[in-house]
Amino acid sequence: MVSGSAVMSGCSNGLISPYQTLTRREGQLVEILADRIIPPDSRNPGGKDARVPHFIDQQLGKHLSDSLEMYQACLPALNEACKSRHEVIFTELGEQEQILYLTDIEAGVYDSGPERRLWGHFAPSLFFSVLVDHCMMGYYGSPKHGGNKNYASYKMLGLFVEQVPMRPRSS
Amino acid sequence: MANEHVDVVIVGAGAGGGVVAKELSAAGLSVVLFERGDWVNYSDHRDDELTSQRGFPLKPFFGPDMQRYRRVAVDRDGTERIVYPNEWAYGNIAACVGSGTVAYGAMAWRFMQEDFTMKSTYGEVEGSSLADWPIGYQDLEPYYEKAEWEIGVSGDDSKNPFAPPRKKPHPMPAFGHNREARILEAGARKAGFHPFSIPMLRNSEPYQGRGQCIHVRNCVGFACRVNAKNGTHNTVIPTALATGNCDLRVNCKVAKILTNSKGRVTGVSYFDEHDQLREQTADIVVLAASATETPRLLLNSASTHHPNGIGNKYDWVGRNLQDHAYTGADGLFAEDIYDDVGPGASVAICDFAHNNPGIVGGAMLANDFIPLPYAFTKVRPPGSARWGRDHKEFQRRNFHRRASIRGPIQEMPNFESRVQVSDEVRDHWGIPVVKLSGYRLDQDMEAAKFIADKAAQWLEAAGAVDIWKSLPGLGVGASQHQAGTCRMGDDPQSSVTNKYGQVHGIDNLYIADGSLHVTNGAFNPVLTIMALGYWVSEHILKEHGPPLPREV
Ligand SMILES: Cc1cc2nc3c(=O)[nH]c(=O)nc-3n(C[C@H](O)[C@H](O)[C@H](O)COP(=O)(O)OP(=O)(O)OC[C@H]3O[C@@H](n4cnc5c(N)ncnc54)[C@H](O)[C@@H]3O)c2cc1C
Repeated sequence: MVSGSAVMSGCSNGLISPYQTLTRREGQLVEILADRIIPPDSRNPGGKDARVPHFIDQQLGKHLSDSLEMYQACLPALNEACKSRHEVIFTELGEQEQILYLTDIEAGVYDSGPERRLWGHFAPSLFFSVLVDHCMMGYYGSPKHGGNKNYASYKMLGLFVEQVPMRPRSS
Repeated sequence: MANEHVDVVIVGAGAGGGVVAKELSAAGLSVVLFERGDWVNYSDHRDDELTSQRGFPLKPFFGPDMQRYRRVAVDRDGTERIVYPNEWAYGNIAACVGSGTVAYGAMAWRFMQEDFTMKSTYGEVEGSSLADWPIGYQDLEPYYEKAEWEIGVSGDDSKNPFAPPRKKPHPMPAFGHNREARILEAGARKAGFHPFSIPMLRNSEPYQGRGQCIHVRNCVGFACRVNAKNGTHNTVIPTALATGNCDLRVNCKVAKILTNSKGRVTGVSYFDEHDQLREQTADIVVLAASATETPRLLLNSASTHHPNGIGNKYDWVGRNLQDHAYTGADGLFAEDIYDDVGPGASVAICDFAHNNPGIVGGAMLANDFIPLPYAFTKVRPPGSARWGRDHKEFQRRNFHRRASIRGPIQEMPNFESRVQVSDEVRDHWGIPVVKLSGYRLDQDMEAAKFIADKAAQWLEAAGAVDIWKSLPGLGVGASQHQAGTCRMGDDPQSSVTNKYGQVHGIDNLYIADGSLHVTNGAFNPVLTIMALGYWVSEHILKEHGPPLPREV
């Protein structure tokens, strides 16, 4: 099922969003953020390839629907508020600058000051901590909720998915 | 169609209620056992950490559901907010047949003798309504034994020098240790402590027709894949149903306790599985709805005879809400200590449960259950990066190198920590919801600091290289170990029930759950709740029952 907002965003952008709850543009931003929060490396996939954005998209329409309004207000704000100190919007920054910017958001640098109003009534640092938590759920939780593709994180931690029964040694 | 009158109605098919249902139906009484939830299965849930009962950011699979249930939590500054079952402030155990006993960690502790005599052991504690239980360990000892044998516990007290005296050993041998616990066991010895294998409501060998534990990591928070974890749902409740005398009504929400003009109880009203309001009359009503829902029922059942709620003449219903302030330390090791043998918790010490200089009470200390991958993202030394490259590196490197030692601090009861019912907020059925408020005392924090130090000392002796402590907050706790809200006592002016769980002044209303605890022990509470279930049942049968069936 494609939700109303997805259809609308599809029309306005001339493209269909691969997401159900997030617009195409919101989804793209979440993809970048998921990779900054859980970066890909030579050994294991990052947030985006593990389908963290799909987890977030799915759950914002389901168990995490209370956070939808926050995402809708804060994602564009995160992108725009970047301009004041970095000249460009977030998506145009290089990877290292993006990390620095996010580190500042986490530290509360944007919780006051002129750009604060862009975020509506959600403190930027609060949004970021919620986003980090949701990324962790998506990366480490059961694939049945849309993320952790092929149990990527379980493999990363060296865990068998269906555990082979074992016996502890007697003490 | 009206329901047929029965001998006994029991509200709640959890730890206490399951035991009472079996005892009374086996003795020949006709019983209706009400449960607001339903049966649950492993296969419907499997390995889903995000909805496990141990930490449920999406929703608690074992109930209650997020649509129809809510509560009010009052912050220290008096601010009230609505909370849902997947928030810690809600104070959730579960809502299903067996309740917490389906998904629990299954530690099967007997309280120590001192746990029943806290007031006479430690004296007056400022700000606390501390009291002794009206019964002692020796009164409950035979009922602990019964719980251990009928529900099934693996253990060996002979290795624990602080264990209270027992007549009969545990029915199954103690569990061995995984690699982490073996290292910790050696560390405890080195530190001069007395480690032993935690008694567990899990099968270390086949027992009563069910198989033995297969040591998976998804144990606490989950139903058992091979049905080797013992709760009321796979022991006493099936036995009760097999007598033909017990009618278990699932998805039925008891709304009120009904009383007559003399103030005696006549039955309950409830919303059935189709949300129709119905009545069930009975000679006796037993409340076993948990330490948060039992006082709610009493308070919601006010009548002209009971203007402040049933059993609440002296304003003790809902007071003295206790939990356990969990405290301890985490440690990282230089090498891998993880071997993926679950459930994780298996080695404990009772050296600091009591008799700690300058401290009231204390706690049993044990290694923790395996944290699953999402839970592990919260396991960090202070100041660590929460995301980015460092986050990922920490997960990869330390998931196999971490141990945690934790213990349930025995909280001092206080009159202001309490369950009330909300004036404004109602559940799906229009019933006023639980309102939780209160705080922990400074004494609890002193005990927590002391116990966290001991946990750190243990980890150090075991060879951990990076150790950090964690202390509980000051807010009221009401979650998995909730207790104390309808305390038993000899004086009707300072307790809710007599020592048999019979509500003062109402001869046919009983309580048989964690609400009865005067104090909540230095241990996880469930075996004590089960033992009380047997204790209360025996008294009901003596006072009201048919002659006890003779053993042939
Ligand atoms: C994840 C987890 C791990 C745990 N690990 C341990 C452990 O290792 N050791 C230990 O000792 N304890 C453990 N516990 C705690 C243990 O489960 C509880 O102490 C115990 O279940 C409480 O027993 P009770 O009879 O007071 O209430 P419950 O067992 O909660 O039973 C109450 C029942 O009443 C039902 N009910 C409530 N209101 C109504 C109503 N109005 N109408 C109909 N039905 C109603 C509820 O749905 C529930 O089934 C754990 C709990 C959890 C959740």
